[in-house]
Amino acid sequence: MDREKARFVLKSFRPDGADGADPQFAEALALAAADRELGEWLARERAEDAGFSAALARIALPEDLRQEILAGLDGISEVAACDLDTAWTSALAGIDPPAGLRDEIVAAMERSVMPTAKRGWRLSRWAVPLAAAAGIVLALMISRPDSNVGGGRTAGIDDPGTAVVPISLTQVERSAISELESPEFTLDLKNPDHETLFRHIREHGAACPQGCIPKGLRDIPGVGCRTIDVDGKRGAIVCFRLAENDIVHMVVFRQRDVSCKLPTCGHPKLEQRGDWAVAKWQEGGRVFLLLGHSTAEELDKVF
Amino acid sequence: MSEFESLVDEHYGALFRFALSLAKDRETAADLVQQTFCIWAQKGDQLRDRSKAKTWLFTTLHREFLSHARRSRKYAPGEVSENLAEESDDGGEDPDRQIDGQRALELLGELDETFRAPITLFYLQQHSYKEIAEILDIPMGTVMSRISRAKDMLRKKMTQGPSSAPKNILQLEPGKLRSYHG
Repeated sequence: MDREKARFVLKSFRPDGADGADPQFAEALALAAADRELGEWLARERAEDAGFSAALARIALPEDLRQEILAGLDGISEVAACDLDTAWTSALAGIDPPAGLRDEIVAAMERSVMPTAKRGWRLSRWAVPLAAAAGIVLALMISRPDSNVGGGRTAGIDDPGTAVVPISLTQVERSAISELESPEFTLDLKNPDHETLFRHIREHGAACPQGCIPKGLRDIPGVGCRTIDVDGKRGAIVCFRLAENDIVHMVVFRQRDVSCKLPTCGHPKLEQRGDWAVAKWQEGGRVFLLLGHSTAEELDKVF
Repeated sequence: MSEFESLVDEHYGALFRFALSLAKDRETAADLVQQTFCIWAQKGDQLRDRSKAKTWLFTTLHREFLSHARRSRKYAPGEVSENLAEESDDGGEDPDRQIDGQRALELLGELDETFRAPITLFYLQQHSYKEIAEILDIPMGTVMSRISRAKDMLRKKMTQGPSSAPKNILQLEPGKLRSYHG
Protein backbone atom coordinates (compact mmCIF):
# COMPACT_ATOMS: atom_id res chain seq x y z
CA MET A 1 0.00 0.00 0.00
CA ASP A 2 1.38 3.40 -0.91
CA ARG A 3 0.73 6.73 0.76
CA GLU A 4 -2.09 7.77 -1.60
CA LYS A 5 -3.92 4.47 -1.20
CA ALA A 6 -3.55 4.75 2.56
CA ARG A 7 -4.99 8.28 2.49
CA PHE A 8 -7.96 7.08 0.47
CA VAL A 9 -8.66 4.25 2.91
CA LEU A 10 -8.15 6.38 6.02
CA LYS A 11 -10.61 8.99 4.82
CA SER A 12 -13.31 6.48 5.84
CA PHE A 13 -11.76 5.99 9.29
CA ARG A 14 -14.14 7.52 11.83
CA PRO A 15 -12.60 10.35 13.86
CA ASP A 16 -13.65 8.84 17.19
CA GLY A 17 -11.48 5.80 16.46
CA ALA A 18 -14.44 3.40 16.36
CA ASP A 19 -12.86 1.63 13.38
CA GLY A 20 -9.59 0.98 15.20
CA ALA A 21 -10.24 -2.75 15.39
CA ASP A 22 -11.30 -3.10 11.75
CA PRO A 23 -8.57 -5.07 9.93
CA GLN A 24 -9.37 -3.17 6.72
CA PHE A 25 -7.64 -0.14 8.24
CA ALA A 26 -4.76 -2.00 9.89
CA GLU A 27 -2.29 -1.71 7.01
CA ALA A 28 -3.04 1.95 6.37
CA LEU A 29 -2.79 2.78 10.09
CA ALA A 30 0.53 0.93 10.30
CA LEU A 31 1.80 2.96 7.37
CA ALA A 32 0.65 6.19 9.03
CA ALA A 33 2.52 5.19 12.19
CA ALA A 34 5.72 4.67 10.21
CA ASP A 35 5.38 7.59 7.77
CA ARG A 36 5.58 10.93 9.56
CA GLU A 37 3.96 12.93 6.76
CA LEU A 38 1.08 10.49 6.48
CA GLY A 39 0.71 10.46 10.27
CA GLU A 40 0.48 14.25 10.41
CA TRP A 41 -2.05 14.24 7.60
CA LEU A 42 -4.15 11.65 9.49
CA ALA A 43 -4.08 13.77 12.65
CA ARG A 44 -5.30 16.83 10.72
CA GLU A 45 -7.91 14.77 8.90
CA ARG A 46 -9.30 13.36 12.12
CA ALA A 47 -9.37 16.78 13.76
CA GLU A 48 -11.31 18.26 10.83
CA ASP A 49 -13.67 15.31 10.78
CA ALA A 50 -14.20 15.62 14.52
CA GLY A 51 -15.08 19.30 14.05
CA PHE A 52 -17.69 18.51 11.42
CA SER A 53 -19.09 15.63 13.49
CA ALA A 54 -19.35 17.90 16.52
CA ALA A 55 -21.22 20.48 14.44
CA LEU A 56 -23.78 17.86 13.41
CA ALA A 57 -24.09 16.64 16.99
CA ARG A 58 -24.85 20.20 18.15
CA ILE A 59 -28.01 20.34 16.06
CA ALA A 60 -30.81 20.42 18.60
CA LEU A 61 -33.61 17.91 18.32
CA PRO A 62 -37.25 19.01 18.25
CA GLU A 63 -38.34 19.21 21.89
CA ASP A 64 -41.37 16.96 21.58
CA LEU A 65 -40.07 14.53 18.96
CA ARG A 66 -39.32 11.75 21.44
CA GLN A 67 -42.74 12.00 23.05
CA GLU A 68 -44.47 12.10 19.67
CA ILE A 69 -42.65 8.97 18.53
CA LEU A 70 -43.54 7.09 21.72
CA ALA A 71 -47.16 8.29 21.60
CA GLY A 72 -47.43 7.06 18.03
CA LEU A 73 -46.01 3.68 18.98
CA ASP A 74 -48.46 3.39 21.92
CA GLY A 75 -51.34 3.94 19.54
CA ILE A 76 -50.08 1.25 17.21
CA SER A 77 -49.77 -1.28 20.03
CA GLU A 78 -53.29 -0.56 21.33
CA VAL A 79 -55.01 -0.73 17.97
CA ALA A 80 -52.94 -3.71 16.89
CA ALA A 81 -54.05 -5.64 19.97
CA CYS A 82 -57.69 -4.72 19.32
CA ASP A 83 -57.55 -5.69 15.67
CA LEU A 84 -55.72 -8.89 16.51
CA ASP A 85 -58.82 -10.01 18.44
CA THR A 86 -60.97 -9.22 15.42
CA ALA A 87 -58.61 -11.15 13.14
CA TRP A 88 -58.74 -14.22 15.36
CA THR A 89 -62.54 -14.05 15.62
CA SER A 90 -62.86 -13.75 11.84
CA ALA A 91 -60.38 -16.56 11.32
CA LEU A 92 -62.27 -18.93 13.60
CA ALA A 93 -65.58 -17.99 11.99
CA GLY A 94 -64.06 -18.72 8.60
CA ILE A 95 -63.25 -22.35 9.37
CA ASP A 96 -65.72 -24.49 7.43
CA PRO A 97 -66.87 -27.81 8.90
CA PRO A 98 -66.14 -30.91 6.82
CA ALA A 99 -68.49 -31.46 3.91
CA GLY A 100 -71.30 -33.83 4.84
CA LEU A 101 -71.04 -33.20 8.57
CA ARG A 102 -74.52 -31.71 8.75
CA ASP A 103 -76.04 -34.71 6.97
CA GLU A 104 -74.15 -37.05 9.25
CA ILE A 105 -75.53 -35.29 12.32
CA VAL A 106 -79.09 -35.24 10.98
CA ALA A 107 -78.87 -38.91 10.08
CA ALA A 108 -77.54 -39.69 13.54
CA MET A 109 -80.38 -37.81 15.19
CA GLU A 110 -82.91 -39.69 13.10
CA ARG A 111 -81.43 -42.96 14.30
CA SER A 112 -83.09 -42.41 17.65
CA VAL A 113 -82.75 -46.03 18.54
CA MET A 114 -78.96 -45.81 18.47
CA PRO A 115 -77.39 -46.79 21.82
CA THR A 116 -75.96 -43.93 23.95
CA ALA A 117 -72.45 -45.35 23.73
CA LYS A 118 -72.56 -45.27 19.93
CA ARG A 119 -73.63 -41.58 19.89
CA GLY A 120 -70.79 -40.75 22.17
CA TRP A 121 -68.34 -42.51 19.86
CA ARG A 122 -69.70 -40.56 16.85
CA LEU A 123 -69.23 -37.18 18.54
CA SER A 124 -65.70 -37.92 19.63
CA ARG A 125 -64.88 -39.25 16.17
CA TRP A 126 -65.62 -35.78 14.71
CA ALA A 127 -64.32 -33.78 17.61
CA VAL A 128 -60.75 -34.92 17.07
CA PRO A 129 -60.46 -34.18 13.32
CA LEU A 130 -62.37 -30.90 13.79
CA ALA A 131 -60.00 -29.76 16.49
CA ALA A 132 -57.07 -30.87 14.35
CA ALA A 133 -58.45 -29.02 11.32
CA ALA A 134 -58.94 -25.86 13.37
CA GLY A 135 -55.42 -26.17 14.70
CA ILE A 136 -53.94 -26.64 11.24
CA VAL A 137 -55.84 -23.68 9.81
CA LEU A 138 -54.81 -21.46 12.69
CA ALA A 139 -51.24 -22.64 12.46
CA LEU A 140 -51.23 -21.85 8.75
CA MET A 141 -52.66 -18.42 9.47
CA ILE A 142 -49.96 -17.66 11.96
CA SER A 143 -47.11 -19.03 9.91
CA ARG A 144 -48.27 -17.31 6.73
CA PRO A 145 -48.69 -13.62 7.52
CA ASP A 146 -49.53 -12.94 3.88
CA SER A 147 -52.51 -15.27 3.90
CA ASN A 148 -56.05 -13.98 3.54
CA VAL A 149 -58.14 -14.81 6.59
CA GLY A 150 -61.23 -12.77 5.77
CA GLY A 151 -62.14 -14.89 2.81
CA GLY A 152 -63.37 -13.46 -0.45
CA ARG A 153 -62.20 -9.86 -0.06
CA THR A 154 -59.23 -8.11 -1.55
CA ALA A 155 -55.90 -9.48 -0.45
CA GLY A 156 -53.97 -6.87 1.49
CA ILE A 157 -56.97 -5.23 3.12
CA ASP A 158 -57.92 -8.45 4.92
CA ASP A 159 -54.39 -9.66 5.10
CA PRO A 160 -53.54 -10.15 8.79
CA GLY A 161 -50.01 -9.04 8.04
CA THR A 162 -51.36 -5.57 7.34
CA ALA A 163 -54.90 -5.69 8.68
CA VAL A 164 -53.87 -5.92 12.31
CA VAL A 165 -51.37 -3.09 12.04
CA PRO A 166 -52.73 0.42 11.68
CA ILE A 167 -51.04 3.00 9.54
CA SER A 168 -49.79 6.28 10.96
CA LEU A 169 -51.48 9.62 10.43
CA THR A 170 -48.25 10.79 8.81
CA GLN A 171 -48.57 8.01 6.23
CA VAL A 172 -52.13 9.10 5.47
CA GLU A 173 -51.15 12.74 5.15
CA ARG A 174 -48.12 12.06 2.99
CA SER A 175 -50.00 9.70 0.71
CA ALA A 176 -52.91 12.10 0.34
CA ILE A 177 -50.65 15.05 -0.51
CA SER A 178 -48.67 12.85 -2.84
CA GLU A 179 -51.85 11.78 -4.64
CA LEU A 180 -53.16 15.34 -4.83
CA GLU A 181 -49.85 16.68 -6.13
CA SER A 182 -49.49 13.94 -8.71
CA PRO A 183 -50.02 15.12 -12.28
CA GLU A 184 -51.92 11.87 -12.76
CA PHE A 185 -54.44 12.64 -10.05
CA THR A 186 -57.96 11.88 -11.21
CA LEU A 187 -61.34 11.47 -9.59
CA ASP A 188 -63.26 8.19 -9.81
CA LEU A 189 -66.56 10.06 -9.93
CA LYS A 190 -67.37 13.72 -10.62
CA ASN A 191 -70.69 14.81 -9.16
CA PRO A 192 -71.84 17.79 -7.08
CA ASP A 193 -74.25 15.73 -4.98
CA HIS A 194 -72.79 14.64 -1.66
CA GLU A 195 -75.01 11.59 -1.29
CA THR A 196 -74.07 10.33 -4.75
CA LEU A 197 -70.40 10.68 -3.89
CA PHE A 198 -70.80 8.97 -0.51
CA ARG A 199 -72.75 6.11 -2.07
CA HIS A 200 -69.97 5.60 -4.61
CA ILE A 201 -67.40 5.49 -1.78
CA ARG A 202 -69.44 2.98 0.23
CA GLU A 203 -69.90 0.77 -2.83
CA HIS A 204 -66.13 0.67 -3.27
CA GLY A 205 -65.46 -0.47 0.29
CA ALA A 206 -63.81 2.74 1.45
CA ALA A 207 -64.34 4.69 4.67
CA CYS A 208 -67.26 7.05 4.10
CA PRO A 209 -67.65 10.48 5.71
CA GLN A 210 -71.29 9.69 6.54
CA GLY A 211 -72.70 12.67 8.48
CA CYS A 212 -69.40 13.84 9.91
CA ILE A 213 -68.47 16.64 7.54
CA PRO A 214 -67.69 20.16 8.78
CA LYS A 215 -70.64 22.57 8.78
CA GLY A 216 -68.93 24.84 6.23
CA LEU A 217 -68.94 22.04 3.65
CA ARG A 218 -72.46 20.72 4.15
CA ASP A 219 -74.22 23.10 1.78
CA ILE A 220 -71.61 23.61 -0.90
CA PRO A 221 -71.35 21.49 -4.05
CA GLY A 222 -69.05 18.52 -4.24
CA VAL A 223 -66.58 18.17 -7.09
CA GLY A 224 -65.95 14.46 -7.01
CA CYS A 225 -64.40 11.61 -5.11
CA ARG A 226 -61.97 8.76 -5.36
CA THR A 227 -60.69 5.94 -3.17
CA ILE A 228 -57.15 5.92 -1.84
CA ASP A 229 -55.24 2.88 -0.56
CA VAL A 230 -52.45 3.33 1.96
CA ASP A 231 -50.55 0.20 2.99
CA GLY A 232 -53.61 -1.99 2.59
CA LYS A 233 -56.08 0.42 4.22
CA ARG A 234 -58.76 1.91 2.03
CA GLY A 235 -59.95 5.46 2.48
CA ALA A 236 -61.52 8.11 0.31
CA ILE A 237 -60.87 11.62 -0.94
CA VAL A 238 -63.88 13.87 -1.43
CA CYS A 239 -63.38 17.24 -3.07
CA PHE A 240 -65.59 20.28 -2.43
CA ARG A 241 -65.72 23.58 -4.28
CA LEU A 242 -65.57 26.41 -1.75
CA ALA A 243 -65.37 29.05 -4.49
CA GLU A 244 -64.67 29.20 -8.22
CA ASN A 245 -60.95 28.49 -7.84
CA ASP A 246 -60.91 27.19 -4.33
CA ILE A 247 -61.23 23.45 -3.87
CA VAL A 248 -60.67 21.61 -0.61
CA HIS A 249 -60.04 17.89 -0.28
CA MET A 250 -61.41 15.80 2.56
CA VAL A 251 -59.57 12.55 3.23
CA VAL A 252 -61.39 9.89 5.27
CA PHE A 253 -60.08 6.68 6.80
CA ARG A 254 -61.54 4.30 9.37
CA GLN A 255 -60.40 5.11 12.89
CA ARG A 256 -59.28 1.52 13.51
CA ASP A 257 -56.99 1.72 10.46
CA VAL A 258 -55.07 4.79 11.64
CA SER A 259 -53.00 5.16 14.77
CA CYS A 260 -53.72 8.62 16.16
CA LYS A 261 -55.53 10.64 18.79
CA LEU A 262 -57.22 13.73 17.39
CA PRO A 263 -59.78 16.29 18.54
CA THR A 264 -63.36 16.18 17.30
CA CYS A 265 -64.72 18.02 14.30
CA GLY A 266 -65.47 21.37 15.94
CA HIS A 267 -61.88 21.80 17.10
CA PRO A 268 -59.62 20.26 14.47
CA LYS A 269 -55.85 20.16 14.72
CA LEU A 270 -54.59 22.71 12.20
CA GLU A 271 -51.19 22.58 10.54
CA GLN A 272 -49.37 24.07 7.58
CA ARG A 273 -47.52 21.71 5.24
CA GLY A 274 -45.76 23.88 2.68
CA ASP A 275 -48.57 25.59 0.83
CA TRP A 276 -51.10 23.05 2.10
CA ALA A 277 -53.22 23.90 5.11
CA VAL A 278 -54.29 20.70 6.84
CA ALA A 279 -57.05 20.21 9.41
CA LYS A 280 -57.28 16.86 11.22
CA TRP A 281 -60.03 15.47 13.42
CA GLN A 282 -61.82 12.25 14.26
CA GLU A 283 -65.49 11.53 14.63
CA GLY A 284 -67.92 8.64 14.28
CA GLY A 285 -65.18 6.02 13.98
CA ARG A 286 -63.53 7.95 11.17
CA VAL A 287 -60.31 9.95 10.87
CA PHE A 288 -60.51 13.06 8.69
CA LEU A 289 -58.02 15.34 7.02
CA LEU A 290 -59.10 18.45 5.18
CA LEU A 291 -56.49 19.89 2.83
CA GLY A 292 -56.60 23.19 1.02
CA HIS A 293 -54.25 25.59 -0.70
CA SER A 294 -54.66 28.32 1.87
CA THR A 295 -53.58 29.23 5.35
CA ALA A 296 -54.63 27.22 8.37
CA GLU A 297 -56.66 30.24 9.54
CA GLU A 298 -58.60 30.29 6.26
CA LEU A 299 -59.25 26.57 6.43
CA ASP A 300 -60.45 26.89 10.03
CA LYS A 301 -63.41 28.94 8.77
CA VAL A 302 -65.20 25.85 7.43
CA PHE A 303 -65.46 24.39 10.97
CA MET B 1 -38.18 1.35 30.32
CA SER B 2 -39.62 -0.69 27.43
CA GLU B 3 -37.55 -2.06 24.56
CA PHE B 4 -39.25 0.47 22.30
CA GLU B 5 -38.30 3.38 24.52
CA SER B 6 -34.70 2.23 24.72
CA LEU B 7 -34.55 1.90 20.96
CA VAL B 8 -36.06 5.34 20.45
CA ASP B 9 -33.75 6.95 23.01
CA GLU B 10 -30.71 5.33 21.49
CA HIS B 11 -31.31 6.27 17.88
CA TYR B 12 -33.84 9.05 17.34
CA GLY B 13 -31.26 11.82 17.63
CA ALA B 14 -28.93 10.47 14.96
CA LEU B 15 -31.88 9.47 12.80
CA PHE B 16 -33.26 13.01 13.00
CA ARG B 17 -29.91 14.55 12.04
CA PHE B 18 -29.55 12.14 9.15
CA ALA B 19 -33.10 12.89 8.04
CA LEU B 20 -32.48 16.62 8.34
CA SER B 21 -29.44 16.43 6.11
CA LEU B 22 -31.47 14.53 3.53
CA ALA B 23 -34.76 16.41 3.64
CA LYS B 24 -33.35 19.85 4.55
CA ASP B 25 -36.45 20.66 6.54
CA ARG B 26 -36.96 20.02 10.27
CA GLU B 27 -40.63 19.15 9.99
CA THR B 28 -40.10 16.63 7.22
CA ALA B 29 -37.12 15.22 9.09
CA ALA B 30 -39.24 14.71 12.21
CA ASP B 31 -41.93 13.04 10.10
CA LEU B 32 -39.37 10.72 8.54
CA VAL B 33 -38.11 9.68 11.96
CA GLN B 34 -41.63 9.06 13.24
CA GLN B 35 -42.47 7.14 10.13
CA THR B 36 -39.37 5.01 10.55
CA PHE B 37 -40.30 4.04 14.09
CA CYS B 38 -43.90 3.35 13.01
CA ILE B 39 -42.57 0.93 10.42
CA TRP B 40 -40.37 -0.61 13.10
CA ALA B 41 -43.45 -1.07 15.31
CA GLN B 42 -45.21 -2.83 12.45
CA LYS B 43 -42.39 -4.90 11.02
CA GLY B 44 -39.45 -4.78 13.40
CA ASP B 45 -40.32 -8.13 14.93
CA GLN B 46 -39.42 -9.71 11.60
CA LEU B 47 -35.80 -8.74 12.23
CA ARG B 48 -34.28 -11.81 13.80
CA ASP B 49 -30.88 -10.30 14.57
CA ARG B 50 -31.72 -7.52 17.04
CA SER B 51 -28.17 -6.21 16.87
CA LYS B 52 -29.03 -5.06 13.34
CA ALA B 53 -31.78 -2.74 14.59
CA LYS B 54 -29.68 0.41 14.18
CA THR B 55 -28.75 -0.38 10.59
CA TRP B 56 -32.35 -1.41 9.89
CA LEU B 57 -33.66 1.94 11.17
CA PHE B 58 -31.24 4.00 9.08
CA THR B 59 -31.89 1.85 6.02
CA THR B 60 -35.62 2.26 6.44
CA LEU B 61 -35.37 6.02 6.93
CA HIS B 62 -33.23 6.36 3.81
CA ARG B 63 -35.68 4.28 1.77
CA GLU B 64 -38.60 6.31 3.07
CA PHE B 65 -36.80 9.50 2.10
CA LEU B 66 -36.04 8.23 -1.40
CA SER B 67 -39.58 7.03 -1.84
CA HIS B 68 -41.02 10.41 -0.92
CA ALA B 69 -38.34 12.38 -2.70
CA ARG B 70 -39.31 10.78 -5.97
CA ARG B 71 -42.80 12.17 -5.56
CA SER B 72 -42.02 15.60 -4.24
CA ARG B 73 -40.26 18.66 -5.58
CA LYS B 74 -39.47 19.69 -2.01
CA TYR B 75 -36.28 17.68 -2.06
CA ALA B 76 -34.85 18.96 -5.32
CA PRO B 77 -31.04 19.03 -5.08
CA GLY B 78 -29.39 22.31 -4.24
CA GLU B 79 -32.30 23.83 -2.38
CA VAL B 80 -31.62 24.68 1.22
CA SER B 81 -34.26 25.87 3.65
CA GLU B 82 -33.65 28.56 6.20
CA ASN B 83 -33.29 27.75 9.88
CA LEU B 84 -32.45 24.14 9.24
CA ALA B 85 -30.68 23.73 12.49
CA GLU B 86 -31.36 24.94 15.95
CA GLU B 87 -28.17 24.89 17.93
CA SER B 88 -28.00 23.22 21.30
CA ASP B 89 -25.75 24.76 23.94
CA ASP B 90 -23.57 21.78 24.64
CA GLY B 91 -20.57 22.93 22.64
CA GLY B 92 -17.08 22.61 24.04
CA GLU B 93 -14.98 21.99 20.95
CA ASP B 94 -12.05 24.16 20.07
CA PRO B 95 -13.77 27.31 18.72
CA ASP B 96 -11.10 27.77 16.05
CA ARG B 97 -12.08 24.45 14.59
CA GLN B 98 -15.83 24.83 15.05
CA ILE B 99 -18.40 25.25 12.39
CA ASP B 100 -21.97 25.52 13.53
CA GLY B 101 -24.71 23.00 12.80
CA GLN B 102 -26.53 25.38 10.46
CA ARG B 103 -23.39 25.86 8.35
CA ALA B 104 -22.65 22.13 8.40
CA LEU B 105 -26.14 21.40 7.10
CA GLU B 106 -25.89 24.12 4.47
CA LEU B 107 -22.65 22.63 3.22
CA LEU B 108 -24.08 19.13 3.21
CA GLY B 109 -27.18 20.47 1.48
CA GLU B 110 -25.06 21.73 -1.39
CA LEU B 111 -23.86 18.22 -2.12
CA ASP B 112 -25.74 15.88 -4.38
CA GLU B 113 -27.74 13.29 -2.45
CA THR B 114 -25.38 10.64 -3.83
CA PHE B 115 -22.61 12.11 -1.67
CA ARG B 116 -24.72 13.70 1.06
CA ALA B 117 -26.10 10.46 2.49
CA PRO B 118 -22.79 8.59 2.94
CA ILE B 119 -20.85 11.58 4.24
CA THR B 120 -23.60 12.45 6.75
CA LEU B 121 -23.66 8.88 8.01
CA PHE B 122 -19.87 8.99 8.27
CA TYR B 123 -19.90 12.22 10.29
CA LEU B 124 -22.65 10.96 12.56
CA GLN B 125 -20.06 8.32 13.51
CA GLN B 126 -22.76 5.75 14.19
CA HIS B 127 -21.79 3.41 11.37
CA SER B 128 -18.70 1.90 9.83
CA TYR B 129 -18.26 2.24 6.09
CA LYS B 130 -19.44 -1.38 5.77
CA GLU B 131 -22.69 -0.53 7.53
CA ILE B 132 -23.09 2.60 5.41
CA ALA B 133 -22.78 0.39 2.35
CA GLU B 134 -25.56 -1.80 3.72
CA ILE B 135 -27.81 1.14 4.56
CA LEU B 136 -27.41 2.79 1.18
CA ASP B 137 -27.27 -0.51 -0.69
CA ILE B 138 -24.06 0.31 -2.53
CA PRO B 139 -20.67 -1.47 -2.62
CA MET B 140 -18.15 -0.76 0.13
CA GLY B 141 -15.62 0.59 -2.35
CA THR B 142 -18.21 3.06 -3.60
CA VAL B 143 -18.86 4.23 -0.04
CA MET B 144 -15.16 4.91 0.50
CA SER B 145 -14.91 6.70 -2.79
CA ARG B 146 -17.99 8.84 -2.08
CA ILE B 147 -16.80 9.71 1.43
CA SER B 148 -13.44 10.74 0.03
CA ARG B 149 -14.92 12.86 -2.74
CA ALA B 150 -17.57 14.36 -0.48
CA LYS B 151 -14.89 15.46 1.98
CA ASP B 152 -12.94 17.12 -0.82
CA MET B 153 -16.07 18.90 -2.01
CA LEU B 154 -17.01 20.05 1.50
CA ARG B 155 -13.55 21.42 2.20
CA LYS B 156 -13.54 23.26 -1.08
CA LYS B 157 -16.90 24.80 -0.26
CA MET B 158 -15.75 25.71 3.25
CA THR B 159 -12.86 27.70 1.84
CA GLN B 160 -15.22 29.45 -0.58
CA GLY B 161 -17.28 31.03 2.22
CA PRO B 162 -21.02 31.18 2.74
CA SER B 163 -23.27 29.42 0.30
CA SER B 164 -24.89 31.25 -2.55
CA ALA B 165 -27.48 28.53 -2.91
CA PRO B 166 -31.14 29.52 -2.85
CA LYS B 167 -32.32 29.86 0.71
CA ASN B 168 -35.91 28.80 0.41
CA ILE B 169 -37.51 25.51 -0.43
CA LEU B 170 -39.46 25.89 -3.62
CA GLN B 171 -43.14 25.98 -2.97
CA LEU B 172 -45.66 24.48 -5.33
CA GLU B 173 -47.61 27.09 -7.17
CA PRO B 174 -50.96 27.68 -5.51
CA GLY B 175 -53.78 26.55 -7.73
CA LYS B 176 -51.57 24.08 -9.58
CA LEU B 177 -53.88 21.23 -8.71
CA ARG B 178 -57.12 22.93 -9.42
CA SER B 179 -56.94 22.22 -13.11
CA TYR B 180 -57.16 18.48 -12.41
CA HIS B 181 -60.67 18.94 -11.09
CA GLY B 182 -62.05 21.12 -13.81
